[in-house]
Amino acid sequence: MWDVLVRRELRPLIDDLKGKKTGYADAYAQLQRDPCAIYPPGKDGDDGRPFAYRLSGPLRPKVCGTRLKRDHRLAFSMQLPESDDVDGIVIVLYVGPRNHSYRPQDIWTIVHDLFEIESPPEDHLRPPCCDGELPHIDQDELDEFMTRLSRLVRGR
Amino acid sequence: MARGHSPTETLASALITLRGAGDADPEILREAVDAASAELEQALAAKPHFSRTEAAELLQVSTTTLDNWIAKDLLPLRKVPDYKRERVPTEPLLALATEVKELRRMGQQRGLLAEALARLEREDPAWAERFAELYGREAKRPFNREDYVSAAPGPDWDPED
Repeated sequence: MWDVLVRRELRPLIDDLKGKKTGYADAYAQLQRDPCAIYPPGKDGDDGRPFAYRLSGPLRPKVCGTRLKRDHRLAFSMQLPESDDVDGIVIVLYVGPRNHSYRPQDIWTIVHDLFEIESPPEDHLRPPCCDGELPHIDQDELDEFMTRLSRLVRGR
Repeated sequence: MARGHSPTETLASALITLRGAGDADPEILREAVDAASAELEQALAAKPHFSRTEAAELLQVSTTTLDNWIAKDLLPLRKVPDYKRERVPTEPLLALATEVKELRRMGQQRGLLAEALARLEREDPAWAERFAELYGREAKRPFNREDYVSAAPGPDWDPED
């Protein structure tokens, strides 16, 4: 079982999803069960599909994403557990729509902006989230990200 | 004047201590393990550092994994005269290898050294005090759970939300 957490002042980001039928509740349940899950292969013999995938570019060691309904995405990272009671900690970084036509409202543009790095050109590799080492953000960088995100959420 | 034991004699002595304990009661066995551990540590005093290949063997990982851990600053290294490449000091290596073994026993497969390091920082005050000396930097600030709340959907949410 994983602990799925969000920074206290960013909880409104999740509360805003109520009534939007994005399937966040299902995604939350899966994050709690196992964010590294790989779904069984389909009938056409393809490989199993990961529940969550790694971002490409400079955020690859730090951030994973998963698809929600209504073209929403959820960005998260992980921290080591504080006790043996849980397998690990999932930190929700952002939830929002994928918006190709208006980049200021696109989740991946926003997440890259919050890390103050250039959004890489799109590709479609999407390796499983937990291939190799787990995604991880240093505490100082996580704090800086959360401070900028808090400002963004308050400004809405 | 009595001469000190050679490393081989110390190893033999530790073996005798352990064999002597046999399957005696747990308390006697514990004492024997502690005594043998002390004797083995004494024998290891003659080897204050290991090569990267030896360290990988002790941690039961490939040298590629070990190099990744070194690149991520998870394993302390030390410059030693007469050696071209930096060496891994014995004491922290054994502490980390012990934690890694325990984590493997509990079924953990990923992020082993990072978790081993976090456990030592959390649970061993002596390790925390020596961190800067071993790694040449301050320990990373630990995750502060108090800044976070559950990300669970609200109780009044529709199942499709």
